[in-house]
Formats: sequence, structure tokens, C-alpha cells
Amino acid sequence: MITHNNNRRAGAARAGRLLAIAALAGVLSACVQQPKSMYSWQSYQGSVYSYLKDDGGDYATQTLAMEKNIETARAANAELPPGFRAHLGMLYMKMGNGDKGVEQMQGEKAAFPEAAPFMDFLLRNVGKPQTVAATDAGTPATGSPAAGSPAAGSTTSAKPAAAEPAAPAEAGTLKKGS
Amino acid sequence: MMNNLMRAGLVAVVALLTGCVTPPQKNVDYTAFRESKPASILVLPPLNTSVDVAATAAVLSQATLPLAESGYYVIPVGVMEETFKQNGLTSPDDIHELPAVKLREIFGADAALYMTVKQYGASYAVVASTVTVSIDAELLDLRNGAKLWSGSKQVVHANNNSNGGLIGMLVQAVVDQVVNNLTDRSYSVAGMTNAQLLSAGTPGGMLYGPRSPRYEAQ
Repeated sequence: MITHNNNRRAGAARAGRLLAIAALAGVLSACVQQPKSMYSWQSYQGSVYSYLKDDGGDYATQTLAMEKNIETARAANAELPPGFRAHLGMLYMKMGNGDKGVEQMQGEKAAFPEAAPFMDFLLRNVGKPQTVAATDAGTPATGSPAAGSPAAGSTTSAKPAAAEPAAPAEAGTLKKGS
Repeated sequence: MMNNLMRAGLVAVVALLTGCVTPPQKNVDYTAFRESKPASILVLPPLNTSVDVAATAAVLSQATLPLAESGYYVIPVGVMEETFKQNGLTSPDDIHELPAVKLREIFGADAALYMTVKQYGASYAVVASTVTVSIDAELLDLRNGAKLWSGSKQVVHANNNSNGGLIGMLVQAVVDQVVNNLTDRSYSVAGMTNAQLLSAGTPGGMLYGPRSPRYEAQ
């Protein structure tokens, strides 16, 4: 009788301990951060890091990786994160593929209506003929971030405004004190 | 007949069920934040007072994940940086001085996040090296200039990799580092710091944004 009671108590104690451990694990895994990601991030932030750190980085490599990410996300029925399409669109424009660039910018807008003002600002400049400032000839559609090479960004007011797409023509209006 | 341990276990389960909806710290005033209801955030290039020039890129590129997962639209940071560049603005100091009205006009964001990287990088000691990333952040409403939130976070990561914590592990799990072949530990620690600083639902942290399933409940 006594041993039976002891066994029951020990069993209850073990069950309690297990319950506590399971609950603790649950707290740690569930509450620290959302267990399920809202978006399929994959290479997006790494691509942006490479872009920012290496003065543009390797456009082709980034584009290829991001296109693969789109397939992976589609297969998993997952959403692409905010900014993904716009960044890819910019890379395409940098590489002279204006059509694909515009397509991605439109895609960003469609997926996230919050993006509309900025995407419209960028798209407003697409299709405007780019003349003197163009470093890669034969690129009719060029958005503001795509104008010129990455190195060209360092020279600004020296450029004639007419040779620039509209966004750089806003140079000066963005400067402080205006 | 209930054993004390059994009871403790049940209490823990109840804590699990209720623990996830812990309200943010009481001493933080969220009045302006709740009134503002920002849906989109412009993360400006961070000021960098650390000695490593890579800090700005590492912190800026990894700020999108925690904010987007918290329910906000985040203005594409690479495209933003390029737009500033095309307008002759390459210094975060100059960019932080831009009038809110102008930022709102170009980027259309409801709020802007102004960050300062105070520490970034490794310090080497005899036994083990540590990587420290320390960030201050302030969220301002671009429509009226009101301060919505501020916070700061420092993460010190020891050599043995056991100090990252769950958030760090989760960040590393979701971020694909193949593209850059990143071996840079400071970059990883910057990601953890961003995640801890900018994820909603932490004490004193950001509130959830409209795209989060937890937005209505908070």
C-alpha cells in the first residue's frame, strides 16, 4: 500500500516535471518570436547588404539568386517580403532591362499598396529618354536608381539636369533647408 | 490529490497560454504611437559612430526583417539608398537632417526610423573574442513629426556561439547567407541586435503594424 502510494506520487511528480519542461520549451519557442514567418526572406537582405557594402555588388549574381527565391517562395506558397520586388526591379534596370525592372516595380505596388507613392516616383522617370548620362547605350527605359553606374552617384550638381531622369532632376529639392 | 510539482506544471501551462500576449512595459508611453497608426516605415541609413564603416550597410540591410515580420511595410532600403545617392546625398548625417515633409513626399512612408550604430565589431582578448553591436533607434511620424517610439539594444556575442539566444538562431535560420558567402560575424550579430531592438511585442518595444495578425489584439 505504502509503496503503491509512493509510486503514484513519483508518477505525478514526473508528469508535473514533464509538463513544466514542455511548457517552458513552449514559452521559449513560441513567445520569443512568431513561430511562423510572414514572408519568405531567403537572400533578400543578404542581397541588399552586398548592394550597399560593395557599391552595387554583382547585379547578375544577385538577380539570379532572387529569381530562384521567387520560385522557392512560389513552391512553398509563401509571400515575398516588402522591398524584394522593388530591389530586383532596380537590379534589372541597372542591367539595362527596363521592361523587367518596371514589371517588378509594378509587382511591388500590387503586393503592397503602401509602396505606391515611392514606386510611382520611380516609375514616373521610366521611359523618359536618357541621353548624355547613360553609360550603357541602348537602354531606353531607365528608372532613377538605375541612372548611370554606381560610381556616377558621387557627382551630382555638376551634371546637367536635362541629361538626367526626373528623380535626379529633383536634386536640390531634396537638400536640406529647401 | 494534486502534487505540488503537478500544480507547478499546470501553472506553467497556463503561463504559456497567457504569456504570449504580455502587454508592453507600462512605463513606456504609447499614446502617440497608437494615435499615429503607421503602416509603412522608412528606415534611413543609420548614423555610424563605431569605427567600422561596414556597420551602416549591415544594420540598414537587416532592419527590414523584424519590422516587416512585426506587420509594417518597409520602404526598400537598397532602392532608397540609391535614390538618395542620385540626389547627391551619401552621408547619413545629411540624410537625417532632411525635412520630414520631403521624405514623406518622395517615399510616401508614414513614419521614419532614425538609427545610430554606436558599436560594431570584434574586440579580441586572450581567452575569447567578442563581437558587440549596439544600436539606438527613434521612430518619428513623417506626417506631423511626432516622436512615436525610441529604443536601444546592445548584443555582445562571445566566441563559443552559445550566446546568440533564440532570436539569433531564428534570424540565422531564416536568412539565407549563400549569396554573399558571409563569414562576417559582426553582420550576424547586427541581425540579432536589429531583431531584438525592432521586433514588436517585446517589453518597451515596437507595437505591431497593420499587416500583423496580432495588430488588432494589442
